[in-house]
Amino acid sequence: MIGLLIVSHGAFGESLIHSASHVLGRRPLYVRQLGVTVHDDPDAILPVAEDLVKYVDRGKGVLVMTDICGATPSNIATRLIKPGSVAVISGLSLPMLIRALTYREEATLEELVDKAMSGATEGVMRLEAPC
Amino acid sequence: MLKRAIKVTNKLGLHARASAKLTQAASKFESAIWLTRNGRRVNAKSIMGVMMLAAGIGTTVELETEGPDEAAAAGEIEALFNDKFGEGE
Repeated sequence: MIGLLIVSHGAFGESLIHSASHVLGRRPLYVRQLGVTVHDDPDAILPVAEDLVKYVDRGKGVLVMTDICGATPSNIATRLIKPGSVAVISGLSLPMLIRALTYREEATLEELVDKAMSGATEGVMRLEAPC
Repeated sequence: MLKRAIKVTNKLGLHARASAKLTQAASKFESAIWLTRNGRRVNAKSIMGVMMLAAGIGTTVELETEGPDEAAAAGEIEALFNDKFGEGE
């Protein structure tokens, strides 16, 4: 199983985990989040993020998801990258998280990166009125 | 291959939690399982696919199962719909 870590602004990550747990009917294991606020010093919070990566890593790698590329959470997240074992993607959304939770048991880290990214992309669509 | 039409009878339709229940049930089977509504055909083992059907109460979806356990799969999935996904309404 691939571990999941969310590094995002404020309470966004925890809210997403809550929402995904509601959809799936259970709180998934080895999913943690780090909410970054304006008061956090990136250098000081990096060890906390590294500690969370160690916690969620079950030996198959860790997928780190962050919200906006270039913001402080993503700048912290990119410092966690370890080729082959820790991958980072941005554009965090509920479809992305649900996709990652759905495929993390059987996928490799590289496969999960693709699945989570396509899930997030496919989650964006123009909706039609109910018929 | 088995095909049958199933009516969505629970109040909230194939919303997120119902879709999760459906995909969890479908994933237990070896057979390929598909749901079709309004020309959109999705893998019933994919939660995002099932949610994209946006099938509300009163709509009809077509269930297709194909594989060694297709009859059991069709029966269990139809029972889930008929049980209103355990939601009581």
